[in-house]
Amino acid sequence: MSVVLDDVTGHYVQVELNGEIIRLYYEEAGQGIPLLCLHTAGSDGRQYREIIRNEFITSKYRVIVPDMPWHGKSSPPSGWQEREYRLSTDDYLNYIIAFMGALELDKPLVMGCSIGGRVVLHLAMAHQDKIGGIIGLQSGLDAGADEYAPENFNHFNRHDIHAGHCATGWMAALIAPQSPDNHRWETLWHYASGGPGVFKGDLHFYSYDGDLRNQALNIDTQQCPVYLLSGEYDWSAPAAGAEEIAQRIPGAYFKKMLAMGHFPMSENPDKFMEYLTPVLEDYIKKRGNASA
Amino acid sequence: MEILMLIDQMNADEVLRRHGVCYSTDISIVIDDDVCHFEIDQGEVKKIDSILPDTGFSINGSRQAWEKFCEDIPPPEFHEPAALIANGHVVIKGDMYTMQSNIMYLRRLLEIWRESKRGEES
Repeated sequence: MSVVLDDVTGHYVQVELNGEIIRLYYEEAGQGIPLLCLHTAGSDGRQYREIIRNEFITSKYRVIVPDMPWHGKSSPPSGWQEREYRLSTDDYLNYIIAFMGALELDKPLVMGCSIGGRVVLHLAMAHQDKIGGIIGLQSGLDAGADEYAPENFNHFNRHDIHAGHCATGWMAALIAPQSPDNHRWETLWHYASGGPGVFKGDLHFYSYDGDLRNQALNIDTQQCPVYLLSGEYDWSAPAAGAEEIAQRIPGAYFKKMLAMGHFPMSENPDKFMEYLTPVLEDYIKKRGNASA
Repeated sequence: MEILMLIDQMNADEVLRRHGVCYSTDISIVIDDDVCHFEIDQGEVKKIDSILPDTGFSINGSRQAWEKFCEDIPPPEFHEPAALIANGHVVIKGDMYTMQSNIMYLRRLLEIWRESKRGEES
């Protein structure tokens, strides 16, 4: 049997966050325009396992997929056992900017899903000069939480419920029925293998701190192209929400992905490529026009 | 006879049995006013009847909602048990903790039940 090695390499990088040195894990493949990929809440960079191996993408883009602190193979801060993890907008942005700085990424195209699809909007609003463009997957202004009630997510972090099984059961409901079983269950495995309290802590950003309903979406799409792709089976960040965002940002691109749920890059990568490819081609064209 | 076949089918399902190895409760699917109650003991379905017990929990929805759930390709919001719950198409009554503590058992039970319903229609 011949051995097939992926052209993907994994690395660790030390990054200073909130005065502490955190060891972050990331994978990369390809050459060209930097494409930074941000995973969803309660999961990790494995969600992009097929995207980072796609030859069309890696022939034109340098794909970089980090695990957030507390997630995947990235470390939590020291003393994690005495802290409650709660992701804030500032923490999230600081991590992304620090990671980009550590790798000296020059104006990457930043693609994020779910919480990542929200934070790319924050990123474009706060740090437009540092990025080349954004792709929001399953972006939404909010998660429909009108009152602060973190106890609603206690079932994801209590001693007498297996958080991995519980997260798997709930996240299964965000995957489209048409998605292939192997990718469905790989996606759910990532949820089954998260650290205690991490998914709930991410939902603090998703449901409360990262809420964008009352903010002006001041993004200049001439400087920072905005692409929004949303799956029709996602009831948590429904496609109508992303469409509304696109209407509020002049020049933004929106496409509803049929037969797709909340995890397009992971639950059905082949189908997702049908939607992502024209976006990546358009971005190359725009970037070429801008530098000409 | 159909009920006995469904019990056999559920008890022959290794995934359901594995999820339920320490799980004993009552789960009822309520369709409008019709009850389908499953008595569960250590993951094994001991009996199915139409009496709503005071114990465990029930998952209550309209016939229309359950019919959508049972379609070959269900529409968005109706395709998975937790999607039905989160979007208010069904309501959980009874012991919420018991439901949350083993949502994978509930998911698998409903999956097998759905397959049996699809089989009835074809």
